[in-house]
Amino acid sequence: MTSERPEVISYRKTCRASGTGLSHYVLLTRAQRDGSVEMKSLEAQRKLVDGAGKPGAAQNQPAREESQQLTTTSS
Amino acid sequence: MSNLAAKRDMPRANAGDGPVLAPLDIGHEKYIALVEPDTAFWSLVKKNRLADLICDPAFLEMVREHAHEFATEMETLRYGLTPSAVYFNPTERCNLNCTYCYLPEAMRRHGIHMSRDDLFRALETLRDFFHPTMPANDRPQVIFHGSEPLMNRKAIFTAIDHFGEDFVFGIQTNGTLLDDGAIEFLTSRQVSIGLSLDGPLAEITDRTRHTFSGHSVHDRVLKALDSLRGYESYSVICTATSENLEHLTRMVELLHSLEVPTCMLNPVRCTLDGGRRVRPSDLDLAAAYTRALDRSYQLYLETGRKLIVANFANILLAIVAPTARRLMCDISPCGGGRCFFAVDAHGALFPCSEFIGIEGFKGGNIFSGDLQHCFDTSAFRSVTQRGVEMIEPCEHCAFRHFCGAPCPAEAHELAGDSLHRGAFCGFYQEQARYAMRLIADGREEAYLWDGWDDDTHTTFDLNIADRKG
Repeated sequence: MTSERPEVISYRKTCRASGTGLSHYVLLTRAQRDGSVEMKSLEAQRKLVDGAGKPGAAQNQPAREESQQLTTTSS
Repeated sequence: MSNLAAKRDMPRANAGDGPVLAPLDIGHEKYIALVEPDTAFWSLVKKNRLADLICDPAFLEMVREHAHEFATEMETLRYGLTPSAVYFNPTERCNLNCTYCYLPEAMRRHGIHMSRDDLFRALETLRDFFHPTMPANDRPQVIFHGSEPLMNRKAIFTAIDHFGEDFVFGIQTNGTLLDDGAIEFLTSRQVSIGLSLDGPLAEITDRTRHTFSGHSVHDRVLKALDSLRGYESYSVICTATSENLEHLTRMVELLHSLEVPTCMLNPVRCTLDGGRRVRPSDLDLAAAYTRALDRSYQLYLETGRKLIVANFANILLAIVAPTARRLMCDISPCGGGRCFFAVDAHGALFPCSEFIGIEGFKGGNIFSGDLQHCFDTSAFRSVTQRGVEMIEPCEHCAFRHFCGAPCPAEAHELAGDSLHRGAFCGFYQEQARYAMRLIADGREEAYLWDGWDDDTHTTFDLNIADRKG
């Protein structure tokens, strides 16, 4: 990958600073904070999902199988 | 203008009014970094082009042209923000006795709960305090923190319902009291939730996190995590100690498999003795941490789903978009007392919850009308004025604005004075090097959450500048 990279790489982006996290807690997305994204409750999300009733299941079946193995091992 | 005059005005690196550019080994096979420490400007250049670049007038002129803009941006980020969040301890009590906790054990065992009436009074005061300074369409955050906030569940749930229009609420919990009813209450009100888990297996977690009688809580936290699957706003803190270092990679695998959206792999804070007893070496920590980051990248490639390691993502942001930081520990002054502050269960005000229990950092009491005054106290100003330039050897370090010499509370308790660097200097350096290696390889987006730059705009891009030239 690096062989195709530029000889010099440099960029910088900016925005209104609004970080409030610390090492004990973090909220990453600004949208969740200012209400521009309306999050659904777990109950509402589960009604949207077929089958297992949990949102990740339909999109990521392989990960779910892996998860069950790990969770079982852990408990 | 004569050629001679033109040459005299030509910027020279590290001389006169030319940019100060420090070459930094980032451990990459092909690239080396050039950093202007004061403005956090950075560039990565192929090693065989370093001499050409540092003598290239066009490059130096570009850097000089942007120097004021970058310096102003850093000045605003470091000294120009106003508080928009409060970490609120509604109780002193905790049902766990984690070995490294930064709060005194007597407080966690025998402390008080804040009453419902006092909690409401405090939140009314905070609402009035934040109102004049918050941007339109933005609400201040109140994060219920601990000790264990769910020990005072009835009061905080009543407050979340009563003040739901005034604040964005979050809660950091050990997860042991997060039953189905609590999860439904919090998720239906869009409260952000942070949990803590230190290992992929009970035998690992139990080394540092357990009840006062030594009982394991690992499985209860796993159950809560499984119940939260699919919620958009929760995260897990894994505290990296000498007890779990070799399991960080497995921890990443577990959290990814549980579809946890965000985690933090935080070095243990060495504020109290308990933390110091499980302090890993910088070298061991950096090696385990970067292996875990490597694994998070592999899992993303394999599944298309990211597990964001937020404390590392924040270091990446410190480099590519300093103002987009979400965590305010790795900037100096840190966010304590200027972006957020903490209220304890008695109403006492501290710059950050890390200082709760350290009497000298108490800046007043929210019930005594001290809220505005606290920002002018020496307790707060010793934190809000703590710049890396005041700390040896940070004042000479080119990474100083990518790390911020955290944490003042830790430094104060370790060295007797917060004008020292905290623990893990070598680890923070390695984090920045690792981040720059990713940028050199064009892999940084894989470590940042989708849409991280939606609200940003580009102020510098060397490729664009090249095309214009």
